[in-house]
Amino acid sequence: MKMKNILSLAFTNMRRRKTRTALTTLGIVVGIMAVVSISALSGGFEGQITQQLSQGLDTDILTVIPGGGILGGGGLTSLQMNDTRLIQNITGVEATLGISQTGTTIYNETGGTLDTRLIGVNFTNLEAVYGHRLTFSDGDWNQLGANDSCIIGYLNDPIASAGDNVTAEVLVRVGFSFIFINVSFIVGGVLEEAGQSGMLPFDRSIFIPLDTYQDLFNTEAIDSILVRIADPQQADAIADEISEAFEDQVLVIVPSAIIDTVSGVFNIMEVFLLAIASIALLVAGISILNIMLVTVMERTREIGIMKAIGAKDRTILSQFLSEAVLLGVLGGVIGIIVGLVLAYGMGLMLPVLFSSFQGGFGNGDFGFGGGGSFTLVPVLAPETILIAMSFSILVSVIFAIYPARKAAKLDPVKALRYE
Amino acid sequence: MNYESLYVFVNFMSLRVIYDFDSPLCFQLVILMTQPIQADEAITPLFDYQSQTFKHIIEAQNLERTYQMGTVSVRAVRGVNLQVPQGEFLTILGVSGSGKSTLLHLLGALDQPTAGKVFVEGLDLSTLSHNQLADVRLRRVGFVFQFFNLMPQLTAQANIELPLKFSEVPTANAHRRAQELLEKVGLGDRRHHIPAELSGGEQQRVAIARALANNPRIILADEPTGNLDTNTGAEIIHLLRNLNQSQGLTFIVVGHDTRLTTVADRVIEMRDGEFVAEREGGGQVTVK
Ligand SMILES: Nc1ncnc2c1ncn2[C@@H]1O[C@H](COP(=O)(O)OP(=O)(O)OP(=O)(O)O)[C@@H](O)[C@H]1O
Ligand SMILES: [Mg+2]
Repeated sequence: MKMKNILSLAFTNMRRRKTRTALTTLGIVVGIMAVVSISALSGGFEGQITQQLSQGLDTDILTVIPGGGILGGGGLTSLQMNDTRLIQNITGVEATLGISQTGTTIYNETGGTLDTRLIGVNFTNLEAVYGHRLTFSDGDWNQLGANDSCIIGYLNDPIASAGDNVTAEVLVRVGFSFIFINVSFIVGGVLEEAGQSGMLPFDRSIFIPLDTYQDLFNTEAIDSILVRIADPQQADAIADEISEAFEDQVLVIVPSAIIDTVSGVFNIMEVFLLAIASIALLVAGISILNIMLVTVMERTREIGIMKAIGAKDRTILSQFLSEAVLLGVLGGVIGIIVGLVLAYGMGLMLPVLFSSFQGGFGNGDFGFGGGGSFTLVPVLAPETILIAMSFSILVSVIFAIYPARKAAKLDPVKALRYE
Repeated sequence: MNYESLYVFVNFMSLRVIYDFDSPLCFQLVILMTQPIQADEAITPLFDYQSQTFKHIIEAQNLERTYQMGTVSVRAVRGVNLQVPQGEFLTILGVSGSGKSTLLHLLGALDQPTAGKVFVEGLDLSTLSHNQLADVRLRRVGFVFQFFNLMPQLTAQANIELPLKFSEVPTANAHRRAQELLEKVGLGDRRHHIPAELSGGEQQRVAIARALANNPRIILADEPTGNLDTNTGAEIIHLLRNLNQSQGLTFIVVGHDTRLTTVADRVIEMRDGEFVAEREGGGQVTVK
């Protein structure tokens, strides 16, 4: 019997039992839907995170923070400006920048207010490390001599111009109590939009001289040292050297390593979720097996008729297997569509959840993308569609093999007698 | 995750699994699925198998069929010898349980004897493979049953086309052939009705047309009027005798209906799995 005819008979049979066909398909749909939506979401999520990370992570900037030590314990409790010299001596290091930062609210002369980061830096070092990247829309590096001068970031809608006064409200510790104090600065420059680099959200920051910062908080320590290196390829080697120079008492963050780690985590997550989806498909397969066995029993007489008028075992077998293939194709197509719709739906839902989290965590200090709206566009690779389709058909066919063979091997005379 | 290799792996596995479970059969399914569908060929003769030389179109030698039910064995057919010349209309009578159906199934390659031999058009059925036996049912004998045994989901037309599709007759030819056969059994206007929408007599006509589809020279009918009223039964007997006369088809008809004896060339009586009497039939061409 030609495939065309086998398929058309399979179609007729599937139409005859619409509800049953629908229910059988449902199992596959759920399984494939899970596979597709999971891979689409995690694909999109991974792409998003990696993209945002690589945007914020300049590959030529290493970040040194206190910590490290054996088993993560111990380590230096803080870094100092002097420490930059140790790093500066390492070959391949172009410039270093010690920074300290905290959250603040700034006010301009007309009462405008904004929550930002207050960042203490040495302006000369800032220029050495980021000079190529930062341009001023107003003012310039030369207007930053005084210890009450400051640079303000792009801030979407610049809150002040060069020469203006801004007031920063900061929380400081006096004795055993914390108090808010207001500190006034003169704006020396306003930055163009510059995005983010590691822990420096340029566009949402106000930069003040490190000395002033340290006086304000009565400390000698700095939070971290940013290191610009000549060749990003050397990042790992230089990171090792820095660690050695500090007897492994610091942590050196290599940007590409972060991306690798995040990708790795996503891969593990994906495999785990796909394992769950596979279980869903397995359950779908068992339900196909079950329903097919019932169908074979119900159609025993028809199988007997077909054999009596000359159908070969193989014709009966292909008949049931092609019904399974059709179920697989149907379930696969619907599953892929529903899975994508689900993924897009969840893609729309997630940002809403995320933004409420960001609100809850204050300014979103370390929020990737600098507090910009977080959108999640599912990404489904064409290979994933092919894999989902193959799995759908494969599962249907595998679980139909037993019932189909059972049907093919029925004795025609007994089958004809079957009531 | 390496998608390419996973994809290759999955496809490889699907082929392996299908291949391993039912070697060439399932494998062929996959190949067939990917093959373009053949265009209709020019009209081919409906049966072009090699004609064997034979003296009797159907012959049974010492035919035995024993059913084993636990410790009890039932000898449904006991040493039957039968020779049917081509073109004969043979009626086998017998009370219920005398083994008529069992014998008919053996003659039509639907069941295998416990002992003895059946020859269909000179072919020794005991030498044939499982698939070859199916081919005998497909092309050399046509079955007509008491309960019609039509496929309930298929229209009259599609029911007749089914054996033509089994024998891979091109679609257009199958379509035309089914239409001709429906005209021949007087159901030209019922083509698109499914069995549930047809009367018993009409269903039996469709079943007869289906039995004729692949142009066999032998028709085996098991109580073809057993489920019909008197008049309809007479019409069906008339139709069978007519086909026998006009086309030279060989008929072996089993049943209780005495009118079958009036049209038959020969009548055999069966009891407890044995032939107990044989006489000439009425040989009439029409039925009252
Ligand atoms: N599958 C089977 N298993 C066991 N015994 C069977 C089987 N099929 C038939 N028999 C027995 O074989 C004998 C002959 O049965 P068969 O169906 O051939 O009779 P029949 O002449 O066609 O009867 P009827 O006129 O009622 O159709 C009966 O005794 C029956 O019980
Ligand atoms: Mg019977």
